[in-house]
Amino acid sequence: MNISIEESTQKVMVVTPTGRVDAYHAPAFRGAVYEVIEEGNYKIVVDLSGVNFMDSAGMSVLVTLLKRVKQNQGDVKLVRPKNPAAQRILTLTRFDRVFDMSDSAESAVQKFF
Amino acid sequence: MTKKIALTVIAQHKQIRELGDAVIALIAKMPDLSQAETVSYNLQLVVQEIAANIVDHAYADSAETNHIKALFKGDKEKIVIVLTDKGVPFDRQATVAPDLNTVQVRGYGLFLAEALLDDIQYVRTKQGNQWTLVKKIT
Repeated sequence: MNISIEESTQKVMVVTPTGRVDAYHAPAFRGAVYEVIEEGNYKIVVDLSGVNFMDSAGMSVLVTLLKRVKQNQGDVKLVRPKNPAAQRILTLTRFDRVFDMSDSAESAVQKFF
Repeated sequence: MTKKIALTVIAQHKQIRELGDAVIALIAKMPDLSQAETVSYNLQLVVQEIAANIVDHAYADSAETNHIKALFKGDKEKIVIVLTDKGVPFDRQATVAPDLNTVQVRGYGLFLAEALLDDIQYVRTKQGNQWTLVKKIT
């Protein structure tokens, strides 16, 4: 798994994990998003388009992130994984109803404004 | 003809991906399988969820190097995966199904396994825990 973090316009941070976000890689993913929060960023886009496998440990990181930013009047918006099977898991768990979903990082960032 | 793969992995998060790789290898031996990519993804997910639970719960208090034994079998009708470990018994009562109307940090692993499989059985044997995961493919 690789993770990139970029500041978009007006303090929206775009976190982009790629590859596998599973039980082994989840601690690194959690560490990266916590770092973003601890720097005072509460508007966050997680771009999952390059994630080809995510298990419940990765989903747990998303939930923890959402709860923490909501405490600070922030929000987390997700970019859908391109992999249809990964998309289906988000549907099955109804993450696609709890999180705002977009097809690109650009459109997810725009939803903050 | 039934295709089989058997392997034993060290019960660590870093190693359990090998179980997912075994799913890929088994499905590669089944060229007539329809929707192979989806079946593969779902079974990789399920086997890694159950294995992660074994690492996190069955072997949670063990300082030794522990193992998970796995047998993967596929035929024209179904794929069966049997995982065995020597950890503490699984406590079904201790698990809580996720409330899908809100998000929660834990509870999705077993939920996903039950949702994506046609059958999932757990038994405690003299040798330890045994999980049997069944996915029909016809």
